Amino acid sequence: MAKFNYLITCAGWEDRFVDGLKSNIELHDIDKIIILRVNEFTEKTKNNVAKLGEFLGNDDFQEVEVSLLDDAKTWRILEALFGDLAISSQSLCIDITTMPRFLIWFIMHFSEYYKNNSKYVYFKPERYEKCNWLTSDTEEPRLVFKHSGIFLPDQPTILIIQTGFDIERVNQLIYSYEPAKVYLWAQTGKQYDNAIENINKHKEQLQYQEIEYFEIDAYRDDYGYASMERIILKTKDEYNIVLSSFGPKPASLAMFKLNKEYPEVGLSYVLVKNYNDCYSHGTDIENIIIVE
Amino acid sequence: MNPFVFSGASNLTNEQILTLFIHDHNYSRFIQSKRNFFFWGERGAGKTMTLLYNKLVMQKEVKDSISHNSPIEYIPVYVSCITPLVFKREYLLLGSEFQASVVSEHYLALSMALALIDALIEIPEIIERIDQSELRLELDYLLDSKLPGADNVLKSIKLFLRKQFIQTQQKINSPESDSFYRDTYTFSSLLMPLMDIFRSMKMMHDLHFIFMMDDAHDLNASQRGALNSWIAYRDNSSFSFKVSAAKVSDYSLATTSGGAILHGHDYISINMEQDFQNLDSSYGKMAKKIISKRLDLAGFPEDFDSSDFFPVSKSLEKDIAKCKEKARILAIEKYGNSDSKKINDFVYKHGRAIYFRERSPKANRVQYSGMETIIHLSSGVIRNLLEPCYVMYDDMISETGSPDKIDKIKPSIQAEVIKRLSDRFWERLRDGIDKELPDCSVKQAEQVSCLFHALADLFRNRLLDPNCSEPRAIAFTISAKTDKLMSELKPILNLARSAQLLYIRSGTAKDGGAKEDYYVPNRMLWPARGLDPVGQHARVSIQASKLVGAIHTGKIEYLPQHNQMDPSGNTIQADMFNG
Repeated sequence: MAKFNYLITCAGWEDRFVDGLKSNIELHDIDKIIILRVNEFTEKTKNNVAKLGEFLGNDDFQEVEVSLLDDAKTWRILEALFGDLAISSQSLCIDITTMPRFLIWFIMHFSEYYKNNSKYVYFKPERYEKCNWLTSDTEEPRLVFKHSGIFLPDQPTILIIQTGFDIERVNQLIYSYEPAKVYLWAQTGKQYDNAIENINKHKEQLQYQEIEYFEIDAYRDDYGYASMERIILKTKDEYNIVLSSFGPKPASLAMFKLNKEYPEVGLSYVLVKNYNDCYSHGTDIENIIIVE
Repeated sequence: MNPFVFSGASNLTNEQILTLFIHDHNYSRFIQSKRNFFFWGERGAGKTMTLLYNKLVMQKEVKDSISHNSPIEYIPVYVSCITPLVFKREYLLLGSEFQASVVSEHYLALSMALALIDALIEIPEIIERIDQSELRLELDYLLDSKLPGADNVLKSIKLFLRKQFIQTQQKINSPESDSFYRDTYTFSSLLMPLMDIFRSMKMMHDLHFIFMMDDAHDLNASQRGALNSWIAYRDNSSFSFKVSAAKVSDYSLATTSGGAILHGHDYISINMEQDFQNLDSSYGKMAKKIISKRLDLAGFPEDFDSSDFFPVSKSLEKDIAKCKEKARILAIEKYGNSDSKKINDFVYKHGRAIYFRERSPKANRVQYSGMETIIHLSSGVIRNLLEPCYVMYDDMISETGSPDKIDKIKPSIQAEVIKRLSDRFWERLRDGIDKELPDCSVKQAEQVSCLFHALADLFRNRLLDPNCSEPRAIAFTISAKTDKLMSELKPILNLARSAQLLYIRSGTAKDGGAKEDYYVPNRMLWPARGLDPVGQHARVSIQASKLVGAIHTGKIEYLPQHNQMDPSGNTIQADMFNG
């Protein structure tokens, strides 16, 4: 049983939020729980948040409201949270399962700035449901504060995108950045109905001619770090590079590390205001992914 | 290689640009001038290609001037505004709006300075004629820094500017939220003195720098404000701006001082999207030339007619000819034999309409094919022209097994591709354009979908109505506007424009001859609905209240009795009552 001063998680509407929280409490010795609640999703998450009372005392966790759209405000809230709690150098268990990617990256930023000893936890769902839509009401792509890369205007841009089922968001990135080339990483594995179907779907629908596809399993080994690094090393002297992740979330951890190693590479995300509730079901608590 | 490749112009080599560009539609008269211009056009309208082509032409002229020892007149400076730099947002973490605008302008000023130096480096004859040691001294003084050593002083300043970019971003990206870079540059502190230094040199005393600001809609608000302020400078002797942008609804023309730049006074507008009614219109001619040039590159003889490469389905051609003949007989019955103008007009309006009207509901889909149809389907946007051609060519390769065996695109393949692409538009509407557009809600996406379904039904009802005076009109104007109605309608129209489902054009209004905006739905929508994408020179006037109703109900009521013609052929009621 590992000991953590804080568990930081994010309120979600999926089963994985409550199941993951229970599992974390059972498996680890945790002093305090911080639950981030995205105010734009309050309605969607309220049922799951209400369930917390069944196994947590009301005083056992601190709820912190953050904003999806006003990410500068969220940045300041997290900055204050890390500063006020004086959690400098303390140990954190960060459950990224239901956390939007920009929050994952913001927390990684502050965790690193405050020299926390952090572990990241991710729970896969038991199954994904085939939906005819995944997300809607999106915003323009945004570069992550402080991890936005170092670009030169006289260089062309390439995108390295970890894609999931969501083609529209990939399209949006291509539309916004007008890259010279896109490296599209398709997730392998059964849960994605195999990579070929996934890639074919993208090939059919992405009307862009300069796409190179590659396949990785984001749940294994280094979460895609080495494969992405190979592309970065090959291209970084001549191109501006932007990374973005829409597939399994452990890859976003690898992307953050790549930005740390190669600060010229920028991290980008697309905010989504509406998700399909039926996208995933259950929680695979047998195969928890823990990233140091 | 597929000759109809339609990758962005910035990904093409100089040689490809010179080869692919259609020289007689080059806008050179405007670009090679000292006035400020805005070139408006959606993505794919050819803005970047036009700027890059003119840049190459002007560079050649500079070389010619130097070789003849003549003064250099213009230096083109191409500045792409669509770099990831414009997406940087750390300024939002700074406490003051002033600091945020300072950093934003700094990035833009540096980008322009780098582009200016690149423009000079690209013409090696320039560096051969200048006194490098004198220039280095002046630059060291201006930049308060010893420029890094390099044989070529222009390369030295390029290194300096690149270093400035890196240092700024390193500082701004440092972990502290309020990290700010203090040694910032502006147009006045960097660009103007830089231009003055070059203008003080031999052969460059009358030099005018043409800043081509491509895709300026991507600049952030501070940068756009700064650019507008520079455009507002009264003195255009040493520099001017040629700005290309998508005319999105929120493109602000405000300056940093709170004023606004004025059309005709500070700048002139050019609309790069063109409507057209036939192959002899300027867009029709250009489109044919574009296709011919691509075929030329694919090895077809120079005089090869692009219409032979995209032949019309024989049955379609025959059936339409029959229907035009029917229309002629009807016209003669109405007007008699003597008034040929009226007869031709009637055949133009009703010939194709009769074909669509008299088709059996059980008949197969129309075999949409032929160069004319493809050009009309492009809705005046070049990328829309090349995309179906690209896909058709690709399908032909799949069928024949080799590009060498392609001498034409079979009408059946043309029709199949057009059907696929048209279906995709309706799929996009069904899935919701909120999935692809930022800042579009599910509800708004549904409203956009309702609007297009209503328009499709309206246009179809008109096409099928034998008494309709303008049966093939597939564009519309908005009448009886009120602020309240338009505040509801405009966001929906703007979203449709952003999704390239709708284009806005300017034309002469019927009454009084004043200019008015009219709306052209992307014509690729119509094949899936059995409509004729080859429209006619007419616009349906629809009341704003009916369009607002349409976004909620998906319907616009059609009142056929208001479109009947009297025996002399005049429309009884104006279309404004219709819907």
